[in-house]
Amino acid sequence: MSSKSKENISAFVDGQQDNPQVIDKMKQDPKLAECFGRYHMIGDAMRNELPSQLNLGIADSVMQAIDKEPVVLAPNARQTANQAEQAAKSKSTTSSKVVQLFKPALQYGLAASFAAALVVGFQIEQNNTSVEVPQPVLQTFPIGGSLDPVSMQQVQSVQSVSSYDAMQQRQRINAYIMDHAQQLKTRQHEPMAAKPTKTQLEQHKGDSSETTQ
Amino acid sequence: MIRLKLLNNLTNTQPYQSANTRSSSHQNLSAWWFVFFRASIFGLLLVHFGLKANTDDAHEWLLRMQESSQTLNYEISFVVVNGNKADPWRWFHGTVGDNELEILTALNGPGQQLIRKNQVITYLQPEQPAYSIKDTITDGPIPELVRANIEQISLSYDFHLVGKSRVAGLPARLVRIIAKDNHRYNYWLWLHEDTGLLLKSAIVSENGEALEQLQVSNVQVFSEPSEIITEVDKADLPEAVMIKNSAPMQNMNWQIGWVPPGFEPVKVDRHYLYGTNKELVDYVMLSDGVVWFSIYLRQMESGETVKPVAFNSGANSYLTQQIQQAEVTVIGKIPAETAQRVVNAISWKE
Repeated sequence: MSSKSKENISAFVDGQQDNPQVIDKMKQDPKLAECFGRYHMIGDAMRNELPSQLNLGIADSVMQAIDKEPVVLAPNARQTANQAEQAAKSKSTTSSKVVQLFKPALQYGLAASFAAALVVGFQIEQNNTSVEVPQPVLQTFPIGGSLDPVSMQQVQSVQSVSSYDAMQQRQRINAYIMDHAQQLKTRQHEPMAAKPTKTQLEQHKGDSSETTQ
Repeated sequence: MIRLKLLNNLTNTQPYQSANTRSSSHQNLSAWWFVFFRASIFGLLLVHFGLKANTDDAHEWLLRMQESSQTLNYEISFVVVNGNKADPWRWFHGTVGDNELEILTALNGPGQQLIRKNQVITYLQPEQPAYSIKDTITDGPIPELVRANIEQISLSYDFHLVGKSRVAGLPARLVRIIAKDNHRYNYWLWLHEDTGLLLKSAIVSENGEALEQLQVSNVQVFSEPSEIITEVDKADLPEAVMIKNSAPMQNMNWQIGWVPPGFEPVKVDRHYLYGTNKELVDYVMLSDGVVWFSIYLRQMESGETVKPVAFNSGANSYLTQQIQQAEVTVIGKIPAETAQRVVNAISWKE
């Protein structure tokens, strides 16, 4: 791998060069492709855009998964046409064909199989009084309309700290925000339990501070 | 409106008074007082009934909103405005047989979806496996008030039916849900005059500043559930996960000395902070039925210090502060002052 082609890639990553030859070269040479990925990561790191967890092998694992996939993902035209015909014939008997209008619905099938594996061991027995057990965490993301987990903190106090500490703190703030969003999704609000008890009502009448223990 | 009534009463009592004073001598002062007293009692009663009727009406409207948004078949487009962000959403709702179904789709960015089938909520997000949670209230763009327990809320908030206006091209009623103290935000809801469906909502600070808003742009109500709803009804959704991970608060070696009245701990546990595998935090979630906020407490290593951080984004407040050898963080849609006061009241048990 010559330094010349490396330089070309660097320029390409920076958007300074739009040379189709570079792309072709990169496609053929896996080492160059790797280099391309690395430059992007360096760029991300310098711009402080790296996610908290890096999974470098993701492209490989995706490729492997695709290789293993026995299903023909791209339906051929005739098949689809046949299906459409069949669907038209037996419209009343179409069961869960949630495909056409509604793309994300494709996930349902997959989703059902994933979910079982995703969350296990959430249960803590009620009479187990120890809270020492850290629990596996259901991974969720904030829904639009909540706090932004990006570098939106224009807080003076953070900037005055050394950059490493500031970065760490920013990461932790993001972690707290994400965690809060995730907790909101798993709050398991029960309307029955939410009914105020008598003691609560009395506390309200007092309207003063209360101690939660 | 109340003030108007009061004025009316005052003016109504005027002729009585003058007539009375004219006919009576100085000795008859007690009779004058009696009439005046009676008139003012009458006035007060009227004002009282006016207020009561107003509250009851608002209460009725809230119940109506809940009933219609949970039973009607509709398609609603709306935008959530939060700070400098505006997120458009589409909201389908319908009932198929005994099933209540709801689909919320984010229209911008990578597709995000929430699907409700009765008490099971499925979150579909890009680059993530979908999962379902048994829950009644979604963590989504729709204000929790749409499904909150009105009776519980009425302990901490007053309801006022304010007036009529036009929202999303439709006649609307404004219901204000006003906090009884200034430790939490107020909520304004504009409801469709004919159906009671939500047309607009705002989280409003004590100074009357709208911090977060939802604005409906299009409402369609159908007699039959739409095609998407019936399709989702037939689809296989991931099995719901039950989460019962609340431990009693007594197990924590710290306590919260003050929370705004009406807030109760709804979730207490100890877990690793999201995305980290080393930051163990004590966690408490508190709610008054309208708003949910989180308190985190992380034991710091010796020698470690944490700079205080506080910022607001829309209605959300974020506050981190060091208390002794622990980092305490409060996040949620509560005023910054409330967050500060909660943090200040945290102490260790002896």
